[in-house]
Amino acid sequence: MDIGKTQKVIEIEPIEEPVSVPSEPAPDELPTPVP
Amino acid sequence: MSPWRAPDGIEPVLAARLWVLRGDDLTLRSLVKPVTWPSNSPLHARCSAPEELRSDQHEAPGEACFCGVWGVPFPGRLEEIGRSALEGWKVGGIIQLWGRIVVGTKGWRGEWARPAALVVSGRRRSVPVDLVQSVAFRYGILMLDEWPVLTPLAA
Repeated sequence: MDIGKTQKVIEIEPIEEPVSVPSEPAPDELPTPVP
Repeated sequence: MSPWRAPDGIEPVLAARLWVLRGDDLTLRSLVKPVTWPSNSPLHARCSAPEELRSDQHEAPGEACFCGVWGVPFPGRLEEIGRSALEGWKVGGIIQLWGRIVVGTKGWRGEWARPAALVVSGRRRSVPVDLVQSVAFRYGILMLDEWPVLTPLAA
């Protein structure tokens, strides 16, 4: 892909792995404990 | 990156790009290469330029190459890019770019990328919205009806 004339090269190092989805279920989606 | 060099940033850059939307398996595919974007992990760029066109062996994105995951700072440029792409449904969206990033006057090429949102606005409304919604759900990302302001990354 042509991105035009190169201006600079940078390094982005996220502190944590980027995520895009919530990983915890909502409280009403948690399974009900079976006695 | 050299262990002695501090990074230029710790937050991924947000950029706009286009994909080909595949309805059969609900995936996002690159416009010009047969690369399907994974839904559960980042995409790592690799240089696939033919040996005879490479000036050296390098990790993607090469500064003097065309390799790397591309993105642009302004969604308006996507119309121009989409005209030269493969046939099929095309959908715009936002990606997170990180790792090594080559910053150009018209866009960026990055080492690592992940879709962050799909955008259905303007002419792209010709794409079936329910299909875009299904793909967004599969990737665990949002579907937006307008473009947000993206990261300024001028030199």
